[in-house]
Amino acid sequence: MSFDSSNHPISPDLYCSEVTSEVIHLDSDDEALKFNVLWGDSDHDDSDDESILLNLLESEHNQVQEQTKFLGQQLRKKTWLINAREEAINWILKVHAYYSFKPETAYLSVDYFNRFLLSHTFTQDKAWPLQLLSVTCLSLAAKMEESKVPLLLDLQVIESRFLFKPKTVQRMELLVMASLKWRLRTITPFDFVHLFISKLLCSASTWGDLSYIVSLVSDVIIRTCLVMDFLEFSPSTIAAAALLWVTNQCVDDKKSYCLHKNISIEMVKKCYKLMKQKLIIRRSELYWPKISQLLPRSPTCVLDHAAAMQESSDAHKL
Amino acid sequence: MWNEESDWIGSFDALLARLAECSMCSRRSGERPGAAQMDVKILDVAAEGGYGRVFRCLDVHTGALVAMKQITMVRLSQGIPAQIIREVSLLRELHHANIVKLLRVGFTENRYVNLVFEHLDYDLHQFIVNRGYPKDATTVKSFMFQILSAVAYCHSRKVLHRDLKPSNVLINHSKRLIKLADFGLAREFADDFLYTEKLGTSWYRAPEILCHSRQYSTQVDLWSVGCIFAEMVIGQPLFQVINCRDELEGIFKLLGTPTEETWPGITKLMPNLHIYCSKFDPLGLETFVTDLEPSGLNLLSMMLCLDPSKRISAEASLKHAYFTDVNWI
Repeated sequence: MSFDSSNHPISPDLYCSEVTSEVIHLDSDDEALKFNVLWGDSDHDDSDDESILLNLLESEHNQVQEQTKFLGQQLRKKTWLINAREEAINWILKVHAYYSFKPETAYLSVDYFNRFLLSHTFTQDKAWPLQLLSVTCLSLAAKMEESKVPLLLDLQVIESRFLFKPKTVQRMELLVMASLKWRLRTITPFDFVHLFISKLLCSASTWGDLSYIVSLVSDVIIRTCLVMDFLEFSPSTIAAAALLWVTNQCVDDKKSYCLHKNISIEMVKKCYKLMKQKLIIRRSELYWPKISQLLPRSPTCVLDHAAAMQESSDAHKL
Repeated sequence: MWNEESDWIGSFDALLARLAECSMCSRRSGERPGAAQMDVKILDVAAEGGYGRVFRCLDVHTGALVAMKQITMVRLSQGIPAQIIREVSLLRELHHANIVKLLRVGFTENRYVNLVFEHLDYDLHQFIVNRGYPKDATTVKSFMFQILSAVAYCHSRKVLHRDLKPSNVLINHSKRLIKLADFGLAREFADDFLYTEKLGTSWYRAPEILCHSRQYSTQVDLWSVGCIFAEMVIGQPLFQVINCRDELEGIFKLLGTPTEETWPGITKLMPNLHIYCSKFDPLGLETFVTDLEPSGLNLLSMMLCLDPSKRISAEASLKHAYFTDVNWI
């Protein structure tokens, strides 16, 4: 496989970055190299993919047993926490965009955040503990995933009402890691995306620009972090639904089995339907073989804000 | 606000102490955790390094020997070092007979992180140096099979080790059991790693890393395993024997200077390839790695292959004729 990825940045462009750090921002070569690494093992045969996929699904099954199945239910009992969580995740995604972190970093940050909420009760409506938790989860995810990690103080430059000392963040890091039982290597939807794409390609080889599809799928996956209802779905389900959603395909038995026999068709359908319902989960645009340029940033952010507001008001009605 | 933070941090400390203990050990204590709270009795210092120290200890509950790796957190401006986070997180997910077992994790007064591992008698480096290296062909084959089993398992879980060398290969003496250790540099695939000088020990470093390539994957571990393989056979590091000004020169001297035919893409990867303009004819592995059966030499040549895309995988290595021609298990 070979792609010209220079025209299609891999990192999803979710939010405006009014100021781009010259130190942190990846240049085009890094973008190309990053993408090439993703497909580096193009020579291996299908049995390798199958083995990796099976291992991932087994790990995912073990992981899901311990994690966020009941978080959604618990959160719904506390209206203030729903709003605070959404605000915290929005903050994480803004910092993620500012530093051009990988999509996995954003997803992991939110995963740690959710898992911590699941195991602790926040009895009072205070803003700073959740802000400290946000900084901490983002720091831990960046250390797991990024080759360059900003200083703890620099992570807090974006719209932070509180500024925590590095020592405080470190203590919170220890608390979070202990709370998560030091299990920070989490299966994410991104682990499945390229495996699913290579499977769908066998049955639909007309897709001409894979890097663009990966970018759109990553965008959708990150947006699911903002909608609490997606917590009931496993990473593989989210990856499958996001891919089918982005490529504008319906969910049917044939496609689900094509991905893997262990993927639940019913859950993929349900997840796909939810993506369709939630305005914040959009196809950024319909796919065409040649895309000259992406949409300008500002209107996208305005729409995001409106969608988030609507989502927030919808949440109140529950 | 300051008062709020102080209050929270106060309860934070107590919560931290309780959680850190019960999260892995299922044990509770009202005291602040320290080395003594790791439920180990320190016997002696087994090793010292830039990261901190390794103690040989007794588990006070089981009486078993354990190793406690105490890592100093020196740069408080960055919080917990990424290497610790990565090593612990990855080891928590890797369960294999040939990978060292992490028993518990704790910390001391926000200055040290303590990792308690199962204890093994010595590492492969010590084994080679002190015991005149495993001349027994069966031992070499057994060790290689175990190392490759662990590496294949890691790769199937999308984990690179990236620092394989004899001192990171631990040995249980009585069982002749191999366990891989030290995953502090380990990473998942498909990241855009930026080259640093600290990555891996030079004699075991793959050529694509030495070329400052940012595109590398599982193949780097197979190169390192190949170097370990050769070292077990000849009793010293392969690229130490080939005395050159730098490792790349040694590699090219042994295997021949690469061309676009032998390693597609090499001229783009190494614009300065011309400084090796003497265009070495390969000395050949057989010149240095004597006393290895033909199938072993064949496997070794597939591991020490310059072009990463043609290098053999761990999974394929396990099926190589070298491991099937005798009933050695």
